[in-house]
Amino acid sequence: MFRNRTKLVAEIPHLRRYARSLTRDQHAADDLVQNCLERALNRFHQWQPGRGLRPWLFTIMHNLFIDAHRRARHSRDILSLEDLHAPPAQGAPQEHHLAARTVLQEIDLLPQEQRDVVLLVGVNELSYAEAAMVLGIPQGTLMSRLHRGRAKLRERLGMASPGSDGRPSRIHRVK
Amino acid sequence: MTKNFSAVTTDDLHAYVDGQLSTSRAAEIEAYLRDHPAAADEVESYRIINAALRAEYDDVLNEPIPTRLVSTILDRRPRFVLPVAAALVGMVFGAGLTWIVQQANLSTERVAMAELAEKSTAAYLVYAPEELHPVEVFADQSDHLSAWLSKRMKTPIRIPRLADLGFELVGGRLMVGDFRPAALLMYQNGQGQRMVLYVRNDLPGKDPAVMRYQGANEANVVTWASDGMGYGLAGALAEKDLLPAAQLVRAQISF
Repeated sequence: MFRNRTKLVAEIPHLRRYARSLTRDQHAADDLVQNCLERALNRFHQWQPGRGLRPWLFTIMHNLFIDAHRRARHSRDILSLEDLHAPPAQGAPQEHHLAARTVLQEIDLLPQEQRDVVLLVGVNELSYAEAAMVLGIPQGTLMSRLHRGRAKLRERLGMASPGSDGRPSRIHRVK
Repeated sequence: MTKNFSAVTTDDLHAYVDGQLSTSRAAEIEAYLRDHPAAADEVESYRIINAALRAEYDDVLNEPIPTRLVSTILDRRPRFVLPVAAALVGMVFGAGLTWIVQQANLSTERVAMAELAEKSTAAYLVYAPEELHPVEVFADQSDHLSAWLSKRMKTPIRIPRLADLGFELVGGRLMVGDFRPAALLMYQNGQGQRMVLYVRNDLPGKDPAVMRYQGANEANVVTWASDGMGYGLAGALAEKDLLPAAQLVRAQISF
C-alpha cells in the first residue's frame, strides 16, 4: 500500500491535466480528480498492475465525467455543447496566427465522441491502445473518431483549403 | 514517388503526429510527406491542434498540487484500523488489561510512523521535481521561514544545516499533518539532487521511535520520532547517503 499510494500521488498532475481538458475549469477539474482518487482507492484491489496505472485512473475519471455530464443534462435540461453548434468560424479569414483558444473552442463544439478522442489523444500521450481502453471502445473506432474529429476541426478552422494542395491556411502556427 | 512505401494510410498520418510510430516507420512517413504536399498539409494541421492543447494544458503539470488532493490519498487509513482500535479500547476499559493498551499504542505508533514515511515520500515526489515553486519561502529568508513554521506549529522549528554533506537549503513550506500544520524543508546538492525533511508534531504518542530506513522504487525515506515530533527525510538517494544526512539532522534538532 505504501508504494501504491506514492504512485497515486505521482499521477495527480497527469490526472489534473486530463481533468482540466475535460472540464476546462480549475475547480471542477480538481473536484473531478478528487472523486477519481477516492473511487480509485476504494477499488484499488481491482487494478491489475500489468495494465498500467494511468490508463486505469483515466478510465475511472472519464466514466465519472461522463456520468456527471449526463446527470447535468437530465436534471437541469441544459443544452450540451454539441447542441449549441455554432456556425463555422467566419469573418475575414485572418492571415496569420489563430490563437490556441480558437482551436480549443472548436474542439468544444465537436460531438462528444469525437471531442473525447481528440482530447485524450492530443493531451495525454497515451498509446492508442490505452486511449481506446480508457474510452471503452475498440481501437478501430478510436481511429475513425480521431480522424473525423480532426477533419472537422481542419474544416472549421479553415485549415483545409478546398484543393487541399498545401495552400495558405489561416493558421501558420500556434504560439 | 520515386520510393517504394508500404501503403501510407490516414491512420499512419495521425500516428505520426501523435508519436505512436516506430522510428523506422516514422522515417518512411517523413519521406512520404516530402513528396505529398496535401498529406503534409494535413499533418501540419493535426500538429497545430495538438500544439494548441499542449499550450493550454501542459502548464497544469507544473502547478503545485492542491493539498486536498494529496490528503485524499494519504489521510486515508487502512479501513480495519479504526474498528480494531475501538474494539481494543473497549476491551481495555472493560477488562483493564494493560498489556492490550501497550499493544494498541504500539500499533497506533506503527501506523503513525508508516504514515510519516508515506507523507515524506509523497512530499518528495510532489515537490522535488518543481522548478518554479519548490518551496513557499526560499533559503534567503531562512530566519523568516524558521519563525513562520515555528509559529504555525507552535514548536520551535530549527533549520538544520547539511552543508557538510554537500546539501544546501532550498527553502520550506507549510504542510498538513493529521489535523495540524506540519513543515517541509528542502535541500539540494551540487548535482541538483534534492531531499526533503518532513516534520510534524502531532504524533499520537510521545515515545521515541528509532531511525528506520525504507526503500521504494520512487524514493527512499528515513523516519524517526522523539518528544512527539516525527521526522521523515526522503529523497532518491541511496541508504548510505540518506542515513548520515538523517543523523546529521537529528543531531541538530532533536535533543
